[in-house]
Amino acid sequence: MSGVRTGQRRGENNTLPVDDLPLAASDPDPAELAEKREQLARLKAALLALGERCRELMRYKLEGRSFLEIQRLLNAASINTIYTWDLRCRKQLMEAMGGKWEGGK
Amino acid sequence: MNGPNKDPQRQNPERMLGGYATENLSEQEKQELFSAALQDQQLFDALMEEESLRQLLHQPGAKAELLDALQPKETPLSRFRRWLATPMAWGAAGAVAAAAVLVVMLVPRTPDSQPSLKIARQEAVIQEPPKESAVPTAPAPQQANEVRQMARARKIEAEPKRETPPERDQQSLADNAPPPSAQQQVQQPAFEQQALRQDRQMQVQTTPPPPAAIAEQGPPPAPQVAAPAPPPPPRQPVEYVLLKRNDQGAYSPATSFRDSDAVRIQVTVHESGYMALTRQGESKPLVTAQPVRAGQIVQIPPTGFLLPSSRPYRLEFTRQPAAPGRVGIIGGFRAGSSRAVSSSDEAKQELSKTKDAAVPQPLVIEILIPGSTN
Repeated sequence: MSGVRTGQRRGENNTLPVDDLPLAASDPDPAELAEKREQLARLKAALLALGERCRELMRYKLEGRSFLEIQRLLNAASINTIYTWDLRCRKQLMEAMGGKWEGGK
Repeated sequence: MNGPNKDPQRQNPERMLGGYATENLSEQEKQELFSAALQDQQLFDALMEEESLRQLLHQPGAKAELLDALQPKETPLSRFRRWLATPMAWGAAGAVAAAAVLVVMLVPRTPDSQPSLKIARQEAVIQEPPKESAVPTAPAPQQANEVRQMARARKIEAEPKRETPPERDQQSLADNAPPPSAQQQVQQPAFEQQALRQDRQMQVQTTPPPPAAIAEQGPPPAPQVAAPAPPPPPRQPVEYVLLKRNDQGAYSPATSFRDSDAVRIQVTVHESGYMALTRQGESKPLVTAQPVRAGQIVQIPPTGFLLPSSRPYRLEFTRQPAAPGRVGIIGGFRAGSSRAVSSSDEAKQELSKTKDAAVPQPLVIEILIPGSTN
């Protein structure tokens, strides 16, 4: 009786080998993939619904340009103008996405 | 990835939120943003929202797909405008302008060339004797005669032995004489001949320049007609009108006749010469050759009258008498008489000798005076 308890306490009979355990896949979940693709489609539609200046600003940002470069490209008077434009465009984009970047309405 | 944002005016870290999701911040800017977010809960919550967007954009192909959708779509007009700014467009425009200048300089003006062609054509028409005329027996036009005289004058200067004034006169008469085929004139009704005569009168009224002026200036200038007009019909030295006696005994122009009508022929003489009247089929002239002068208007017969007949009368005109010195005496004759009253039968015989080279060919005008029973 004491041997059984000892064995249980040591975990000698209720353990499994690690190689037999199913490991979680590193690939994204298909459901998540579909959800991501749906979010991307909504984001794309929302970007196309923006005005010309916001679309251009977003395009420069997606291209990886800095705000200083964007200022020169858009011929803005100051960098603060770019920040302001960016804030307004992101607000419009979020509203078009349903108030959130993911999930949405 | 990107250089540090060297914005000296940046003070609010919230402004960097917009660059976090699209990864437009430098490492230093990220650290500043994270530090500010740790101290500000609202900033932290906003940063978490941007993190979800960043993960969305971080998917493979997501940025490329969005960039492709955001690329400005070129319209044909915008594409053309963009092409205009290229050096090739300027070169093409210059080439087109140069080609246009060359075309304007090298292409001749077609309207200017037409008048010279018209003038040349008209001169050729005038200088050539008319081959066809409305009245086959009509002589060459007076202008053409003048041209020929001028040409002969030039020939005389070159070859004085060839031509002498008398010969020239004879030659001009011979030229003026109708061709042999012209004597076989188609018998026309009197009214048709009168219509032809009236047409000729209208055309004859255009007076040509005086011979002296033509001699000085050379060949007559081309008639000032815009279109290449046909040569004017030849003017006959004599023109006639048929007269019919009315109830009062006076003779007036007429076009239709009855078999019993008394007819006379009123002749307007334009050139001096000799005139006789015969009838087809009769050897003796009805009116022997009588001298007439230009501008004279005579009635044939001067006394008596003619009767309508199916045989045409023949009005003969020559510039010289058939037999020099022998001139017939005009006389009247009774109606129906085909005998000449004049006693100079020799003149009539001389007139009939038209084939003699020394005798000028007479101008013969056949006048048909048909009668009707109505």
